[in-house]
Amino acid sequence: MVLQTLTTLGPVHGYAIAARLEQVSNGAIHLNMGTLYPGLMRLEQRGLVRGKWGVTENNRKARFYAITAAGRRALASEKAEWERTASIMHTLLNEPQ
Amino acid sequence: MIYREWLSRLWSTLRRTRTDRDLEDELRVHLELAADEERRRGNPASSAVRIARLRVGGVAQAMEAQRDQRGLRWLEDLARDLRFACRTLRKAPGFTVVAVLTLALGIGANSAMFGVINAVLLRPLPFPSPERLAAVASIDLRATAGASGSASWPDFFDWRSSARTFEHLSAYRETGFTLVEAGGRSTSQGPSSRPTCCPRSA
Repeated sequence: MVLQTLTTLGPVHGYAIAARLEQVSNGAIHLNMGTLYPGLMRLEQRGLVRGKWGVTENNRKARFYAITAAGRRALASEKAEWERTASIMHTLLNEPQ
Repeated sequence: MIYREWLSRLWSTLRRTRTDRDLEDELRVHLELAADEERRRGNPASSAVRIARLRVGGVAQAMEAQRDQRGLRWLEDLARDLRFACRTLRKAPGFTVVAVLTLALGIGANSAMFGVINAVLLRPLPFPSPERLAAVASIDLRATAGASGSASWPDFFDWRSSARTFEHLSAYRETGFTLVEAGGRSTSQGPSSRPTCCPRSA
């Protein structure tokens, strides 16, 4: 989800990622700081995103995250896997009685 | 991918790549942005931060979760414990000497015991197929103070000529002898000649 958000929005800070996920999911996905930042750190440690300090539009110092080439590859592979799983579940659950 | 994460965590443990201050700054910005959002929604400035904190979670808990992810917590704890142990031992040299001597004696005694058990019980005998070797002895059932394990030469010759269970039978005689070395002499117990029934393994 984070990787997809970074692909859509480009480099953004953690708060923007959480806000975007909340907005896109109509409030169903709510990430608090204790979940979001360790997750971002894990993605950074795996080389899927890169974090860099920058300045927000209202002049606040914030850490901006950007997706890396490895992140794009991981996102494509995760998406394919998810779509395959969802398709299997859809077929199973809609089997004629 | 996972190994890269672990390498990064190890590196972060050894060379602090992101300080606590750095992590905390990021969380504070998040909280401030959430409070801005609350003010935009019409919440009074006095309660905006409190509402934002309720919505995005506390800084302390998030810091703790970040620290766990940043490095290898168990390695940091181990290093801290070792440093504490060294400081404590330096403060009490008497205790340190006693503890080190006790440990040295314990380790020495255990090593010696293991050496004996390893040589006598665990290591196979230096012959091919040592599991096929058996010791044969005569037992005097009339003896009151334990049975003797030795056999007479005539008994041995009879056993050897009529044995069907064993491929070979060989005898050895145990005897005491004196070893003379430059440092002095000592008395040892052992076979006077090596049994010749089986070739020794390399």
